[in-house]
Amino acid sequence: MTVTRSKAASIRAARRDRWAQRLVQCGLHAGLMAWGALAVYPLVWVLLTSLKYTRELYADPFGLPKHWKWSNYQEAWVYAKMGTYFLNSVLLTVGSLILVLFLASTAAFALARFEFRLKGLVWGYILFGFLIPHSILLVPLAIFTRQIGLYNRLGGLALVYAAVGIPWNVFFLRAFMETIPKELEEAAIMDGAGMWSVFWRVILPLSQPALATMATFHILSAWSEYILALVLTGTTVSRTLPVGISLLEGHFTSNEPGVAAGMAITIVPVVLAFAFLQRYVIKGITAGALKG
Amino acid sequence: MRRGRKRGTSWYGSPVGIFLFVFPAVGVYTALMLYPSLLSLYYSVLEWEGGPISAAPFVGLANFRQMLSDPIVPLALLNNGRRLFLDWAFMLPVALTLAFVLSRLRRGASVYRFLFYIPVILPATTMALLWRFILSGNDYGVLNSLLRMVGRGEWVRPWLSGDGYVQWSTSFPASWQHVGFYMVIFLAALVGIPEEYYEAASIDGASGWQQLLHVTLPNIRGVYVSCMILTLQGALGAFIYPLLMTKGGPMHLSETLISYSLYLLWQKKTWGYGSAVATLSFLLGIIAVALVWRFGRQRESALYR
Repeated sequence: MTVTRSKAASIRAARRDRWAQRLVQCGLHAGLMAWGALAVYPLVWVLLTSLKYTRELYADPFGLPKHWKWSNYQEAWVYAKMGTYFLNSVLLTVGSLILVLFLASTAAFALARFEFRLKGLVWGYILFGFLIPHSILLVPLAIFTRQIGLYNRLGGLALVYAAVGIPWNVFFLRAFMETIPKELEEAAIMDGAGMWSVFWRVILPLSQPALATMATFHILSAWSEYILALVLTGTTVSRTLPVGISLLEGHFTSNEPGVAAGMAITIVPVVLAFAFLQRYVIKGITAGALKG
Repeated sequence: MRRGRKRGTSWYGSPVGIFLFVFPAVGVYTALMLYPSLLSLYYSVLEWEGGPISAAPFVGLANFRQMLSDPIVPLALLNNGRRLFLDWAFMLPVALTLAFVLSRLRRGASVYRFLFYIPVILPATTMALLWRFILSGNDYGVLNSLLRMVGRGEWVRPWLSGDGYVQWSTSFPASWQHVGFYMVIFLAALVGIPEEYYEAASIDGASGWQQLLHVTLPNIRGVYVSCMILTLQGALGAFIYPLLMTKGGPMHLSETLISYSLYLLWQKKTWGYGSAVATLSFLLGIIAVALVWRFGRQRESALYR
């Protein structure tokens, strides 16, 4: 009798516990949703505003647009030249991505798989780049790129983006390549593979996860980079979206929806890219965090 | 495609081979990053106001002495300090709290992580325009019209033009934007704490709070120190929000060291002095990182000895 009673009581207690836990979880979710809404709202607001008429924006800055004014996008894309800037941003991002991955992975391969004199020195030399802020490069680069004919060229800017990305990329790729077992490489050498084919056919394919992570970080940062692009480009032919957007107000003095359309053109691709590539971001940061 | 030679092993790992692999990266990095940064140090000891550099006289540390009597430099440093204060007093604690809550969640953590990270990836130039629109003192300033809408007209402030307001208005957006980044770092660290530690603690009768205090926090101290270093570098290098929201104004009130150096370089064309201000921020960054790193490591090694 007592046994069954205590059993019933403990079941009741367990049920109460479960309810309490559920309540706590609900409360947590409510708080998290509030913060999530705050994080996403700017994006939503930009999208809504980009479809409004200017007077509607002033009358009702938060509501849905009553008449969707798609022509804001046309104005931004054509008159404010966001179309050109968009193409430039795509070319720059892709070009600098290929450059930085090639440069960093070859160096990381040599540093990860071989012993050589001055290795420690080369390593320290590259890592010193972590301490160099981009802002002290501006004047020297503005002068230097003019001297060597890279000023106001997307190719020159891509090379600069690759250069400033080298320390971080070499650091991460070397750490990954060091974990690849030596046996695979030895088998390839037995088959008569040279240094390049070991790199290109063995190490590089096996480094794919690390390359994907670095590529994701590079895409996200190159798409948003502002100050180097501002200083090293001078005309529409090589301007990128972040620079273009900062010049937009000149074109549209009292057309905030037009500016919002330009912002949407800048923001939406990077949000989509992040949605597809987010696991690489998480992986990269996690790897960094565990190294402390 | 096949570039490996028949007797590839003779090349393999030879100094020439290694050189060919290392050189492209080291060359590009040297030419476009290291060399320019040294040039910048050199410019900072010149009196150079446009014109050919060969005509600029060497003035030693005169530019750095000039900073001591420049009233804008302490204003700018203070704004870097405000940003650091917001990062340490607001951003890191919020990020840690969010990460802690997410790590206790049964389901849905990855959705929240995605949402919280979105501000991090949005280009700061667009965010700066957005914040300017929100904080504008004009009739259409979003925050001010919101305050009027809810009947709090007396709280309306000149967020972007008033002394005491503009400094925070140009610091806060950057802190807010990066919460998600640090949250992901903390979340990774929290998930990395072995479950056995908590089990052992609860067997010893530790309550939830005690577990947080004695298991969770000590185990993420190293990561927390690393994040403090990152925020230090971020705060010293801050410029984009002041530059794009207020151009450092009004009257240089919202300037940071870097935005002030940009003003000196590109508006006033005092390239020597402007480079010196940028160099100051670079040197402070190195010193600060060295200090925090040393301090943090010492604490840690004392803890685990």
